[in-house]
Amino acid sequence: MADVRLTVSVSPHIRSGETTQDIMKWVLIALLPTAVRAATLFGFTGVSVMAIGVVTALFCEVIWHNLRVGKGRSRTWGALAASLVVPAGASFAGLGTAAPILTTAVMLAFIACEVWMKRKGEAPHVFDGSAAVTGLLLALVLPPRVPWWIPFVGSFVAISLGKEIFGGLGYNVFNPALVARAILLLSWPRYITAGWFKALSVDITASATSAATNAAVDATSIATPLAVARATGGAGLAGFYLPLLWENTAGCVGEVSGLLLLIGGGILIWKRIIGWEIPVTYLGTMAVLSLALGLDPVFQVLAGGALLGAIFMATDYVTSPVTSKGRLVFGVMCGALTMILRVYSKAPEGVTSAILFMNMLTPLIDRSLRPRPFGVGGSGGGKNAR
Amino acid sequence: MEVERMLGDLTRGVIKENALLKLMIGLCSALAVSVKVENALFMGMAVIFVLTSSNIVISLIRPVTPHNIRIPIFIVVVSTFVTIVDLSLRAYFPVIYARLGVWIPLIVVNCMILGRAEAFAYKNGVVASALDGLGMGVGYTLVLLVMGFIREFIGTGSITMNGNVLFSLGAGFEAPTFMITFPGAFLTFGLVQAGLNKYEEMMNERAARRRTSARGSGTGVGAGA
Repeated sequence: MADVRLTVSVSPHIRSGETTQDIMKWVLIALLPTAVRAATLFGFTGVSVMAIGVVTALFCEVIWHNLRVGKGRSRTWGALAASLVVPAGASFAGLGTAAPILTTAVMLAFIACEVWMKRKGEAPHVFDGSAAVTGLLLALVLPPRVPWWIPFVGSFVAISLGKEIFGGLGYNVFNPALVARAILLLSWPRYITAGWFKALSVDITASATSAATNAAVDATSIATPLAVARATGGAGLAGFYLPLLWENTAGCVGEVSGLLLLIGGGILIWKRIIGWEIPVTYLGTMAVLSLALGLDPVFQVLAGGALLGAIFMATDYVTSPVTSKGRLVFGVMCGALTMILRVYSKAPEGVTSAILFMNMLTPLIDRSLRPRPFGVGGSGGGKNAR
Repeated sequence: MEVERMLGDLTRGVIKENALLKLMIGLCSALAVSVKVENALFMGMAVIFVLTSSNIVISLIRPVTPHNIRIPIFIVVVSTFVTIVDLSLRAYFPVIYARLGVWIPLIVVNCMILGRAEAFAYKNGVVASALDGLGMGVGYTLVLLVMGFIREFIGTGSITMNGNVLFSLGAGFEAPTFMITFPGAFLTFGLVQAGLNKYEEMMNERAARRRTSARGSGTGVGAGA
């Protein structure tokens, strides 16, 4: 016995080989169908919103990393200044249309330079993909026709105020993309609540656009069908089922197709990137509550940001509970809050507020639903257990 | 020695024990009023006046204040001065008065003022109390001005004083209205606080480095310490 060498180490003792890179890669893959569909439907505007969102998020992440580590301070500050001075200068010089391209070029050049410098040596956690996911998710919850600087500012806000200021990935309280969306909504409501346009020419939401711009609006995606539902009192919404599942409604960039979002969610659950608990309970609660309130459950689940929120936002590792039981509670409360906000608040949609609010309660849920350690407590008491 | 202590009483409230950034009291009015530099300026002056005067009076009446009912007495003293401010503002600056609204009467229950009365003026002499009130008030005003500048400048794109635009980013700048809402106030406050903490950390580091290098070069012994 005395020869046995024991290693003493702190937990966790069981690790999976799964890395953050793998997880983020699969999230990006799951988002790909939606992104591609949005790109084909919205054309250049959709692509530019997504591209600026992702590039700015990466750029901002690199800057924070460099400043935190303390390497390359001067070139980092220089790049940050350049990314702000270039668009301002371009618009003063009357080159407003070139500003987004110039700025993106500056940011891409800096990112490329950093990638090249970090090629050997340290493993840069900066490029673990989480920033790209944040940037893409933010772009997906913006209307397709926003000024280019909305995703630019939004990604800065998402990475800086949503994530890095709390200490980086894993320490943030709120979903960064939704924080950015909420701040953008409070800052420039007329861009975030308008700017919808129909992807294809089939005229199913003609009246919706004006209704949406008139409505006083809240967070995630007042997808215009929701505004229609509110205006018409919920009659004849079955006509929206197909358009909501597959293109053709006015909405945010990432709301073009419920079907593709569901496919993405299927991929994530199949690869065990996310648990089934939150999406299923979130959408299930919404359906049950809408039945109870006399609304159309299929429409409520498909319309607006519910699918995007339930599958990609509410399941964020950092800001949702860790235990299965906690996730059930989280999903149910998210769904209930969303329905309450949709029905009783001034705005047609409430996914952003519901998820942000539940992010706040996540530590509480985790603490109160702590799993029982094996062999401790239990029904039979310590001595007679089993 | 005496002068040094008086200087300490005066400057303590400005940064080292800043009511808003360090003690985190009196926040409610600060968050509400810091939406404009002009509001911040008038609110700050009102608080300086009330704080200094009430500190002086409370320090003066210390010998005759029964310990058990000191808080109501403090409140009466504070509310006297707040009433003076309230009526003067209403008479001479009706526009500002309308804009500051309920926050002027609410200075009565500002915990910064009651806090200084209880923690300092009730235990110290008149001169020290006056200096303490002045310093605390100046610290409060400075933070309010910084926050007001950030919020008004970013949130509206220009700084307006007495109806005149001092400077502006131009009509092309689409100001984020988030900064002049309440969430923006919390955000600005947090960032200002973080900035001050960072600054102090840097100053401490620099001082520590200077100390060690001075000791190291002076005697050659400090290196091992």
